[in-house]
Amino acid sequence: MNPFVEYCQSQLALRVAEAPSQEASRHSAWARFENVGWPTTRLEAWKYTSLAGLEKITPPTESFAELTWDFLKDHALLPDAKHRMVFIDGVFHEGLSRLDRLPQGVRIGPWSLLQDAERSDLVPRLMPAQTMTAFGALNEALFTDGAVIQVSGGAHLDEPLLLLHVTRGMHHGVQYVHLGENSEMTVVEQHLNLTDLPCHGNFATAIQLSPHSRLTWIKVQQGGAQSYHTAAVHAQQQQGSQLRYFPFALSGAMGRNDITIRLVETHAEVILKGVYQVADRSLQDFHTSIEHDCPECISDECFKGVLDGTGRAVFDGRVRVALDAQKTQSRQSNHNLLLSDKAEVDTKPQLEIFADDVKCSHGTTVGQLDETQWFYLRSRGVDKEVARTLLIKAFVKEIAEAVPHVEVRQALLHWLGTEEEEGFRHV
Amino acid sequence: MNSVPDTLEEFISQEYQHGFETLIDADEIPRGLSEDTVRLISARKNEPDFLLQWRLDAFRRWLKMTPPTWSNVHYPPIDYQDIIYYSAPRSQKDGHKSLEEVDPELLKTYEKLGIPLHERAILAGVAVDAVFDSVSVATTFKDKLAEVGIIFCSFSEAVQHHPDLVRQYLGTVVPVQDNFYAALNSAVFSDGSFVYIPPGVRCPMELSTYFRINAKNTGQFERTLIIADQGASVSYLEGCTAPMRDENQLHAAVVELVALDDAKIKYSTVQNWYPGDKEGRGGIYNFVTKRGDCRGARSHISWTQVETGSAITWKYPSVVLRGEESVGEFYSVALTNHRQQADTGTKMIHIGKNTRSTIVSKGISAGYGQQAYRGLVRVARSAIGARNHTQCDSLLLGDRCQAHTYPYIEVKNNSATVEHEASTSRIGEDQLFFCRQRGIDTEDAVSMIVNGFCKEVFKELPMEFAVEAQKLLGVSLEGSVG
Repeated sequence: MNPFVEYCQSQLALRVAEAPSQEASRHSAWARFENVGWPTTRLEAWKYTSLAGLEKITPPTESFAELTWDFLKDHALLPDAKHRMVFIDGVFHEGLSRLDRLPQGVRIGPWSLLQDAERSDLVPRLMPAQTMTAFGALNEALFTDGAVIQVSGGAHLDEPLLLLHVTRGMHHGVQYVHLGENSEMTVVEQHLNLTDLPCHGNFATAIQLSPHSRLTWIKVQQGGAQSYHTAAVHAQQQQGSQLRYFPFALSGAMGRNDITIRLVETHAEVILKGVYQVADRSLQDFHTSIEHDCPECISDECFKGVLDGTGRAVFDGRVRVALDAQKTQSRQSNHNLLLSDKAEVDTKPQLEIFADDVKCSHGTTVGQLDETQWFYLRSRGVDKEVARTLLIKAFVKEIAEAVPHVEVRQALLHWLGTEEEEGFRHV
Repeated sequence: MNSVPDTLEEFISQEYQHGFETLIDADEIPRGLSEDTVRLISARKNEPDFLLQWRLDAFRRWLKMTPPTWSNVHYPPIDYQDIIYYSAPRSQKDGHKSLEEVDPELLKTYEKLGIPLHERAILAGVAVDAVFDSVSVATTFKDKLAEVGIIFCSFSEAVQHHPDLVRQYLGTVVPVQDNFYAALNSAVFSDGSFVYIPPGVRCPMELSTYFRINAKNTGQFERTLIIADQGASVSYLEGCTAPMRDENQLHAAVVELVALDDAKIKYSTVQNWYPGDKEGRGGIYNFVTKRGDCRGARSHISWTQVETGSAITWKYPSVVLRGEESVGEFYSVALTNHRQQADTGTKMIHIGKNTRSTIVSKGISAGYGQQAYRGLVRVARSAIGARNHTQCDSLLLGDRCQAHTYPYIEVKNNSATVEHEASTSRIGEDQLFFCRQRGIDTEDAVSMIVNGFCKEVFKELPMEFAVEAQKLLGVSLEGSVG
């Protein structure tokens, strides 16, 4: 057993002591984790992602200063968010959150404030996001708190909800979203690790979309030199529902996202577009799986990666079209920009097709900055550094621009540094 | 293979054409596999000690290995003790001096298959090595090729006459422990072809091997080794057929290609093993390891394959691009109909500077056919300026067939450019309508569209093979459209 797992085991006893009613489920989840075992690169799903770094870490022992909103808002993607939930080290922080202006039909609250009956009702709904991997089982055994979002039929959350997670130790959290028929909302999930000390956040998100509901979800991951992030998302979409999911993995030592989207009724649509950026000694890994279980659904997936220094990235995208899921339309692409001769990308776009009347395609590219574009800029006297930054920004801008919510899009463009800068308008 | 069906009825009634069996007295060793079997095969072939040791080493390693489970093919476990590992036509003694000595029954078999063993044959200009079960029965044009220094003979002969070459190159491209089936092959391989093209020689004719499985309960384990020395070039064709039987037979071959500086090897396969019947009974398990090594600078290895037969195909012809500016190519058409399964693709390992590779894979799946493209493009840190383009297209005929794509792309060099694209679709109603409207019946229209879909690959095949491949596709697709 490595130090990481040892620490996790010590946490199990604490969690059980806190809430004895969940003892059975936590213990069975732990047993499942032990059964699955610690992931190694011998497993196909972890072939390119070594957990050697994570294995060794234990949480820092120093105590941290109390956080204030004035401090956090400088780091938040939406500093003026009307609705926000803040989780500090895996626990809901009421003082920093703001949930007093929710419209009718929208119920948002932390897991920790739920009644026992509500919790036992939610446990099976979270399960799909927790069963997939070893980290899912760990999550179920050890999670401390989480956001529970329920939007009733026809309701509409006027402004995006900010879910801000600040992790300074080693924590496990959950998120549950259920959208009723014809409802709509936007969520911005942001993970901040403000220190260079070892930390690890492990999240499980379950999303259920009723017929004709629309969910837009933006996820931003940022971390320090020793921050690790693992997350599993499981979404299930009913008839005519629409999910737009935009993950942005911007920094941190390692990130691993397992995203599974199941289109279980006709005319469901998913847009999955993300960006990963890696620099020295960092790794980002996206495993996505889109399951067309039903006819006439649409999926559109695009991931772009920028790799610098000794950074590494892994993309494993799977699209599965079930038997009789006719008239499926599916697009998948993955583009990678290698900026350094020490960077590495391992990409594996997969199609599994069991129906014949389908239009499915995937494309992958790995390359460097385009020479003609580079020449264009340089011949107009643009400085090397500036030209390079400009081309990188242009490369990732496409993804941020797909975000439908104006405010969030602008914040993201600002975040990625891709706002149009005055000096270059004429270029 | 050699006659074009005139009418539609004839076209539709065409079954597997090469399903006949030649009744011939065969010299077989007892079923089962042990060190003694390996020793027995080696002794039968009068092999030098180094080869026996090499086989035994492979066998010992094989015992510790397990069959691969990662591929997308399903079959009951194979009982390796229930296979006859060596079967040779009885009349076959240590090689024939001339064709007159070959058993006429055997010659008839090849005649029936349309393979020109007689040097007067129509397809003059092609030298053939015919492998029947475990042994090579005849190699044509040997003397003519020897004039320019080319060695083209059966593997057994090469072991006897050119042991140094065999020793130098055998197992250097596909090591014995490479994978389960390669290890098995290394232990029990019986025959195959051996080609050596000396420096600067351009092989004056196409070389070809024709593999035939005939005997019951046997497995065919052949090994082919082709070496193109500096500046040499060769085009090599391979064809395969087997009788129709209800049992499954194992074919586990290994092909090794070595290209030195400026050498060029073009390896074409038309694989038409017996695919089993409509219900999936019988057929050949085709578990093959093929790999080329571009050892020298500016060397060039090209694989072209048309895979229409076999109950299960499991093969990944690969190229290791070691030499600077070396080029690897892979062109493939794979067809699965009825209950056939294919898990095929390629590996392009870029190690040298400015290496280039092209992959074009066309998969056609009909009936209950299952098909997967599985490919790896790896660009090592040393492969500055490497370039790859991959294109995988799948065509689906019928709503119960499957087509999967699993490309692995690993890039460790930023000056590399790697592209992969894949698409899956079915024959467009509009394309069919266009043909029907002009009085072309559905079957022919499908055949035309499929041939158009595969054109990119067919144009890489040598001419005679291209014609054959097109006909083969038509036959294999028979009955797959409404």
